[in-house]
Formats: sequence, C-alpha cells, structure tokens
Amino acid sequence: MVTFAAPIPVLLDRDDRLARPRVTAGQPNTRQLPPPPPGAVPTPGPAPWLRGGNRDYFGVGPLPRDTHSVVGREVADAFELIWPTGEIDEQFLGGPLSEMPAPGAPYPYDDASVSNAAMPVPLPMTVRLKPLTTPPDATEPTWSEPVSDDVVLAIQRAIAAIGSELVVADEPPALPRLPDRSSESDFLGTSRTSVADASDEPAPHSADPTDARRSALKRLIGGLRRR
Amino acid sequence: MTASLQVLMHASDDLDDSVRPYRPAGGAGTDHVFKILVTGPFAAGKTSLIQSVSQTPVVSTDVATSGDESVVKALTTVALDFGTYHIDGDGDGTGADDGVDGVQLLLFGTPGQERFWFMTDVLKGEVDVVTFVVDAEAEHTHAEAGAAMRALLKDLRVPLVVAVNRCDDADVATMLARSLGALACEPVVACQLIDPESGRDVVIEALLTLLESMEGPPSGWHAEAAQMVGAW
Repeated sequence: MVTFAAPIPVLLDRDDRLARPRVTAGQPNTRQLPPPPPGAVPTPGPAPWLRGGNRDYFGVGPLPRDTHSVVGREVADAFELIWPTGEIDEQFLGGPLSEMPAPGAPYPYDDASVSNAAMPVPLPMTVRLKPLTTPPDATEPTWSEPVSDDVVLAIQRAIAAIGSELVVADEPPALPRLPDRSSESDFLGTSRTSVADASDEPAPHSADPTDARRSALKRLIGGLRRR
Repeated sequence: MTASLQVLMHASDDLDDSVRPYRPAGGAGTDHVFKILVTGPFAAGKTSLIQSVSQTPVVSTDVATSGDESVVKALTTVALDFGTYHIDGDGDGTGADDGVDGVQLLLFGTPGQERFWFMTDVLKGEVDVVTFVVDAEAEHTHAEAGAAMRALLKDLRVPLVVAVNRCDDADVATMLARSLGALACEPVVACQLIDPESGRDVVIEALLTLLESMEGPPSGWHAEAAQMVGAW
C-alpha cells in the first residue's frame, strides 16, 4: 500500500511576497542597479512615478534594458499587478511610458470639460409612428356658422344606428368552395388576380398575429371578389 | 361646428348600454378588423363608394345642402358615413368554429366640405388604408383636394389609393392623381362610382395595397414615403 503525503499548504501573506527576499541562482537579490559599463549612453531612467518602486518585475533583478536601453522611450511590455484583494494580474500590455499621464494630471475626458454641443443630437421625428386622433379642442375651426337642428339630429341618428343592431352584418351566403389551386407560398409570388383563389381556403388560427391578420385580409379580398 | 361635435360626444353618453359600444358582428372567431377611411372633396362620390360594398345599410349623416352646394346635390354628409362588410369566422357557413378568424371591414366616410374637415381628424384614428376620392370632372375642387390629401397623409403612415371618379381612362386618372400630389407608388383607380361594381374594385384595390404593405420589408409606398420624410 502506497501512501502519498499531501503537501502542506503554506499560506503566505501577499504583501510579504513583495518584501520577501528572493534568491536567484547566479544573481544577488539586490535592488541596487549595477554600475553602467564604461561608454554606455546614459538613459533617462525610470519614469517619475516608478522611481523608488519595485522594478524587480520578474524576481531576477533589474533587466538589461534598464541599464542598457538605447531608445528614448521605455515600453512597459509586461508587468505584474497585485490588487489589494490579493489577485494577481500578469502580462499587462502597456504603451510608451513617456506618453502616460503624470500623476495628478486632470483626466482628459472629464465630463465637465465636454461640451454638449459636441454630443450627437437625435434626428427630429417628422412622422408619427401611429395615427393619432386630434382632440376636438385642438382642431377648433374658425368657422362660426350656427349648427342647425337637422345636423344635430343626423349625428344623433348615426350614433344610435352604429350602436344598435342595425349595423349587425347580414349572414354571408354559403359560398361554394372552389378547388384549392394555390398554396400560401404560391400566392406570394403571383399577381393580384390570384388573391381570390388563394383566399378561398380559410387559414386556421395562426400563432403569428401578423400572419393571421394577413390571412384574414386575403380572405376579405377574396370575399369581395366573389361578391 | 364645435357645438355639433360636442353634441356628438354627449349624445353617445345618452345611449343605452345595449346599443354601445359598437361590436363587430360574427361569431367567436371575429377578431380581425380592417378600417378604410374614404375621404375627398365635396360631391366626389365617397358615400356611393361605401354604399357599393356595405352589407349593412350605410349609416349616414346626410342633411339638405344650402347655397351653392344645393346646385350640385340635394343632400350632403355632415359628420360621417359608415358601412361594413363581414366574413364569418367559421368560413363554411355552418356556424361551427373551425378555428378560422372572422374578418370585419369598416368603411368610414368623411364630409367633403372644408368646414367639416375636423371630422377627418376624428375618424382617421387607427385607420389601415386611405381611399381618396376625387371627381375628374369637378376641376374646381382639384387644387383643394390635393392640399387636403397631402395634409391628411403627412401624419398618417398608411397606404393611399386614389379613386378618380367619373373617369374611364387610367392614364388620365393617373395624371390627375399625380398632379394632386400622389406618389408614383400610390395606386390610382379610374372608376365610375355610380356603378357598384366599380366601387367594389376600388375597395379591393385599397385592400390589395394594404396587403402589399404588410408583406415583407418596407417597399413600394413605404420606401418612397420614408425616403421623402427621411424617417428611416
């Protein structure tokens, strides 16, 4: 029987990880930059916001480019970011350090500095999306002719007739069923003369309200054609 | 005229509950209602158009004309005309519900006189398609008709069909409709509305135009009208 001993987890404080001395083979763990070689071009050095900070990015001491860089701009191509919560983000791609804003500089896109005139303005709605019924008061005409009694009586009769059984439609006659010569898909590609044939076969209730309404309209057209 | 409109509103309050509001006829399957607004200048044939297809007696508000209008005709519409056309829901006349929706067509006619135009604003709510009737031989009404047509449609995004009454030549009818301001994509029907068959053809053309507008992406009158107003 083989018994495996589980490794004992070691909990280390994240903050202690920065201060903990690192020992790498072949190099001393030092934060002191080595003296530049004779004849080397002096570099501008680290950016002001990095001075005094930990530049031992990878725990192997200063990189060669820190002391032997020949370019004016130092590119932060990768670094490790430790959040206060303890999470570690690696390999941030950075831009030229010389273009980074200085600490305390005003945010260039501050909302207060943005003029409203530069904001896009939506196009004015020139067409109503739905027909509206104008209130009577808004359409009061300038015509001031007195209303005669026959006008009032005619309107009253119309209102009563609309609401009464007088407007109940007569039962449509039983129409002969014509042979089904066209399907729904066939109708769409045919001319208007095929509407009557296409609408002879009433379509069942459709799940799509638009399709059901369209089918009802076709039946209505067909009914008018046969009348 | 505000007084008559107030009468219109107040009179509806005096009606019994049994007669209002209007309920479409038909069985349980009646749930599709299409509304056509028939409008146009005075004595163009709007009432005749509605009478040609209505299955029910047309509800009219005709009163005797006066002044110059009495020379043209004896009666005129002062509020509205109302007609219906209905197809039952079962579709086979047996009265049984086969799962087919009923269809109700409502036709609303407007008064032609300018002093009653406010009724058009009342009647145009929830309209599906507009049929504009113009008399080809009443040339003195054409200028006013064109202005009224464009004023009506400027805030209505619905299809339009122009019915040119007392005209047998389709080319002449099209030319007249275009001169009134009808778009090239808006159908024009030359008709003789004294004949019910001709009025039925106008209504069918209006419904076909509505059907086209319901098919697929915006095209035809939709696209052209949208291009004009720049709303798309």
